[in-house]
Amino acid sequence: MRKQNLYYIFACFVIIFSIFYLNKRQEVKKVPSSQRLANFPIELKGFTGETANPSSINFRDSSADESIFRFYTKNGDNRLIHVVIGYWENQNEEKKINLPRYTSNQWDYYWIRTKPLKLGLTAVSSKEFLNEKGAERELVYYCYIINGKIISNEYYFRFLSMLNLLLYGRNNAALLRVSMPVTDEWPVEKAEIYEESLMMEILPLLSKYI
Amino acid sequence: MTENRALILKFGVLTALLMALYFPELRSMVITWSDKKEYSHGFLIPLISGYVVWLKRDKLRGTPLICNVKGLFMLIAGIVLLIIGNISFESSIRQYSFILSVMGLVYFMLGIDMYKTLLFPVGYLLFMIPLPYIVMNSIAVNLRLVNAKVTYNVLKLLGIPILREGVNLELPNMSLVVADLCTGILSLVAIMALAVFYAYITQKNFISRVSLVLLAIPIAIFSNMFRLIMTVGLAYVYGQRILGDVIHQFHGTVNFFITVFLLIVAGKFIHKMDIKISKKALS
Repeated sequence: MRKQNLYYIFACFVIIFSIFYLNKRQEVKKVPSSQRLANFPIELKGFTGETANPSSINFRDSSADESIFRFYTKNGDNRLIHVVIGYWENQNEEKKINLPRYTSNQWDYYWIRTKPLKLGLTAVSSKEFLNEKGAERELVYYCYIINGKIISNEYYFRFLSMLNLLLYGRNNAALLRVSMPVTDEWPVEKAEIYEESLMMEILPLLSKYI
Repeated sequence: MTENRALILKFGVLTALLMALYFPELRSMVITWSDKKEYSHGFLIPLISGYVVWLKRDKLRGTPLICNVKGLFMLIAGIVLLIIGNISFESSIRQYSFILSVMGLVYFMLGIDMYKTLLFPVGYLLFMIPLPYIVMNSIAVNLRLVNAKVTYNVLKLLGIPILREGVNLELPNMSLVVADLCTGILSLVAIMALAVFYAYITQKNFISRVSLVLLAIPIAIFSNMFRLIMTVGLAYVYGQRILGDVIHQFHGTVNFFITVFLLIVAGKFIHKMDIKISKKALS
């Protein structure tokens, strides 16, 4: 048999095998959180929290396996900082972490930047954007937590999800979103200080839950 | 001759198998084209690609068919990419892998010469694939702000009382938001597809083709800005009714034809420049 025919048969075999493989692929394994997110502390260093109604926070993503919606206030100040933490035991076509930038109808953002945060000696990055609807504004921070890493870049997050799935057969991940209304009296600079200090309290604790 | 027939038959079998493998992706693409009007140009892409193959029919007839094992690696790379995209639930990776697999199949079964001849029509199929969501958003967010700024400055220069807050434009009679769809990002994809085809059939050399395609980007962006300025200006004069579906749609269609016209003008200009340069080089 000529070599060319062998290659041809091999190509046919590869394609047929792929058809069967793709049709029989199993569900990605679920990795439950190590502690229930609902037990995440209400009291943090310098902040006090309370459970919020999900509809009162400008965020929509109902595909998380576990999620908490909270309002935190800095001790001695009654301004609300909105916190959403979502945990996905696994992700698939229907259930995956989407960009948290697009929120409710008519809300839009017009600038976004990467903001480094210092967690002890290590620096992690988060994304910061100003969300607005007419005269209403909110300053939003978000980051993803995957395989112990805190990252903000969507492409890198997708890449890590894919890599984890290929190497370890799992793609569990979490999303942290912190936001705060911004007004003329309460400008972006002040909201940044509050939100960043809250994130620095949440992030080290969060790793124990997921 | 008999050998060629056998090769074409084998090519047909492998093509059928590849289509079966990619059937879910192809179906998903067709659904996207029909469900989302911003991707409706997707239906035209395989037709244009087929037309280019038809244009090359004489060259294709004279091209020798020689099986090349290097193409097998390319085909397998495409299939591996499909599997990775499937495992990681990334539809874009799966859809882009289709182009690589088709290229690999042509290279493997029909040889390097045929591969080179069909590189453009097969590569052109890239335009039928919907842009990944995150890429689309990253471009759109920047375009929105630029569009809002330009619209604000132009209308202010024209004496229209207008205020801008980010992407919100405030007129005395209404507030408008420059939404993602207003950025022209979606028409930009369709216009780029058109520009690549137009450059391929009208321009003789590679530099002219690339120049025309690159020129298509500012043409599409500026004509969309013009549309936005007109819409906001007319909304100031005639009120809310100018934003109604029919007028807005009509405005979009007219704008598309203006863009195509500008593209043709740019194409003719580049062609003339090309002839001039060639003549100079000869003399």
